[in-house]
Amino acid sequence: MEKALEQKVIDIDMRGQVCPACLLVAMDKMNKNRDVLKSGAVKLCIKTDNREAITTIPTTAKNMGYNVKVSKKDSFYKICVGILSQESKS
Amino acid sequence: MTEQQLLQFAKQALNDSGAPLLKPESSGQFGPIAELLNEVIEENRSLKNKHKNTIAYLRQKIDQLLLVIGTIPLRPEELDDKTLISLDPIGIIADSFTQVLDHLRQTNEDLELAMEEIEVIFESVGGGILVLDEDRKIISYNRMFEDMFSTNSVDIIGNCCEDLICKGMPPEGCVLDEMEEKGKAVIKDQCFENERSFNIVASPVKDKSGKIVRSVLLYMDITELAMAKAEVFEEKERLSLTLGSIAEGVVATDIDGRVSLMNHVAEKLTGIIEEDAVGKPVCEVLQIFEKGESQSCSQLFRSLLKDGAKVERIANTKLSSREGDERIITMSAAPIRKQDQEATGAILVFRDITHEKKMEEEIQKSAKIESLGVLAGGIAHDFNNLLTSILGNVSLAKAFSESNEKITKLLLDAEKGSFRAKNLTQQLLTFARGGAPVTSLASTSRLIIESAQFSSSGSKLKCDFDIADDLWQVEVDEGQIGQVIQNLVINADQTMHNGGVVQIVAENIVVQHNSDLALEQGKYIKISVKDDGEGIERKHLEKIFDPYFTTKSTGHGLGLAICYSIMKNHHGLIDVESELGTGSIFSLYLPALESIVPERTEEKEKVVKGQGRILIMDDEEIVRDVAVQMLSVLGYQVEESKNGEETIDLYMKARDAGQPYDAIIMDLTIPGGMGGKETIAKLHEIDPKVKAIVSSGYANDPIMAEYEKYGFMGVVPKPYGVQELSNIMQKVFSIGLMN
Repeated sequence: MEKALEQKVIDIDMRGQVCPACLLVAMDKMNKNRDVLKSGAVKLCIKTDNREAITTIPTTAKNMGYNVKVSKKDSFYKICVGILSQESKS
Repeated sequence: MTEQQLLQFAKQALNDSGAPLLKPESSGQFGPIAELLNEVIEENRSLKNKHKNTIAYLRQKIDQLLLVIGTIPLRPEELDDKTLISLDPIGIIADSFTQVLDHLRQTNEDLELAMEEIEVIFESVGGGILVLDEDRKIISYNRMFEDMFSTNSVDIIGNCCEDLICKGMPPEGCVLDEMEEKGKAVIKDQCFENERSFNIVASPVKDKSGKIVRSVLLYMDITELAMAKAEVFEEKERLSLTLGSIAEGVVATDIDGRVSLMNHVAEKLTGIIEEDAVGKPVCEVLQIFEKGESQSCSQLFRSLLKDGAKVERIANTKLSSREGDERIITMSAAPIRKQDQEATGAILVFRDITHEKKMEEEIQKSAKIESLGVLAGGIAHDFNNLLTSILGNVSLAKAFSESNEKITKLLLDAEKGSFRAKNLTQQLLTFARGGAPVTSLASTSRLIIESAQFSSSGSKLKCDFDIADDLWQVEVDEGQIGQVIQNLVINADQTMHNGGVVQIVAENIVVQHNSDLALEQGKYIKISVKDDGEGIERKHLEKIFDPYFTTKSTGHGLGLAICYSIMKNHHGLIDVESELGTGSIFSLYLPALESIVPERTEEKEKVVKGQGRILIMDDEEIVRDVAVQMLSVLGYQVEESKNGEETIDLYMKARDAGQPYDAIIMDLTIPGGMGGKETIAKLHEIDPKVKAIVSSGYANDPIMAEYEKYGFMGVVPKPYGVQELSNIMQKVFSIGLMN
């Protein structure tokens, strides 16, 4: 829990964009923040309204060795990627 | 061609790849320039074509990579060529692939480690493991499995488990069948041909679609466990059989004092069945309280479960059953301890000693009566000597005064008084008698009816008889048993002031071992005398058989004590059930004879004269005097002696003189001299054919009942009159004649 509290969040709003552009952007962010994501200091949270993205992004993130949590908000999905604590994994 | 025209033509050719090239030959002075421009235009067109192919190639490769990643291809309208170049998707994907590959490598390392772990577990687990494919063919196994089923030299891999373990004969309810049917792990105990028992866990391994692709079988050898279980079961059976067959009640509890087990005897004594008792506090089930002491059941438990507590014993506690029956029990309670000495519960063993207690009380009662009997016997003895003199003299005086009616009448009254005194001493003696009653085979039904009717005659009482036709035979002293029945009927009469019906029932009963009656087991006849009188108070019930206990102002308190004593001497019992206001039932129990013996017939008695020489031995002069006179009246020649020494002396002298005695009547007890018992022994040495009669006021002396055993030919209890002497002389001389 403590770790989760300290974890910084990088937010990306990609509402209005479709796959695979969304995926490429997410991958680019994951590549550029690789070290901080892997260390658990940071997590990446992506807002998207593209249904395809909620499959492709988590699959790719998992293949890259990250935990993913997808949650549904009112008009979009929030996909959080990183080294997540047990409670917040999906 | 003008310069302007040339420039415009060149621009068009650059922008439109389909537009024609310049014509240098028709360009005049600009011919060389047109040639150069044409080269540039062609090169430009070639470059543009290459760029287009490159972008197409890039898009193709990006799409290929996106497909690998798992998404759809890029749509050209989504990213124009320019953005495509600037976004650099290949770069992004390449970097992502680096991460994916890193992750894969890590995963592979983890997998390898996991594989190693599995391998170690596979070999070190305490059971045999088989991994089967879809066709139940073995694809993997561990060494333990090999050891368990001794499959050495057989090729295990590729074999079917059915052939290898079940030898082609799979048991009913094969664990694999069940696992496949249920689609999940199944645990089963199975015994195989090699007499070993296994606990088998069959677990399915499924692919992503849920199809079972592998089965893992884990065999745990539980033969020893099964054997231990069987032993425990056997031990439990043995314990339950033992608990079921012992005479003691057994209750086991847990640490909180709740019943965990109870046997049949405990169920019987508490009136609660095990099913209802289990789980209940033991103090609710066992309602015990100690006589006189205040130690309660819960106190007992607290002290029992303390550290180091040992067996607790309680004697003579009352146990109340659910129905309210009270039994006297002795109990021992012990803690059950684990190996570390910690108490885990308690075991209570208790025995119903109600029967023993009753017996004990009977013995005490008997002892009390016996001590009184010794006193009564002594008095009766002396009294009988006096009575012998009175009765003998009166009967003699009567014989001598036949002519004088007045004197005869007075003597008759005196005789009557003496007979009543005799009866009283008889009662005293009966009460005192410790030895065997003078018994004979009796017609019990006649005895009962005659005795009851004798007592009830002249009263308002009516006797109602219900006597079993097949009543077993008993051997009793008719006088005594008659007296018992008379006493009971008289009591009934006294308790029913306005008369009424006394019901007398006689029946056969068999007393079982451990019955509530203080009797040995066997066949008995039971005679009940039931009245509708005022009944007896509960507090008096225990005392009514005590001598001198009476609630009646006119009673002397000997009636029931005598009954008690008589019944005791007959190895029987007298018992009473009564409640104030509802009347009483007195029950007599007499042991029945095992075999049927014909009854004797009575002969009418009359005085018969005789002749012969008689020696009478008695320390009391008054007895000797009257005996001499009575025998003289009967026609005998009589001499007398004071003790055994004198008797032997006289006997030898008479024999030597050729005038031997035809019979000797001997007193049993001679204070300070040789009595009847010793004298007869000596006389037998001198003359084995000696005819001796024993006489005593101690009717309770065993010699009086078993006189033949001591060498006597007859017995005449004191007091006796002319008739009794006549009878005994007749008997002795008739024996002499027969011999």
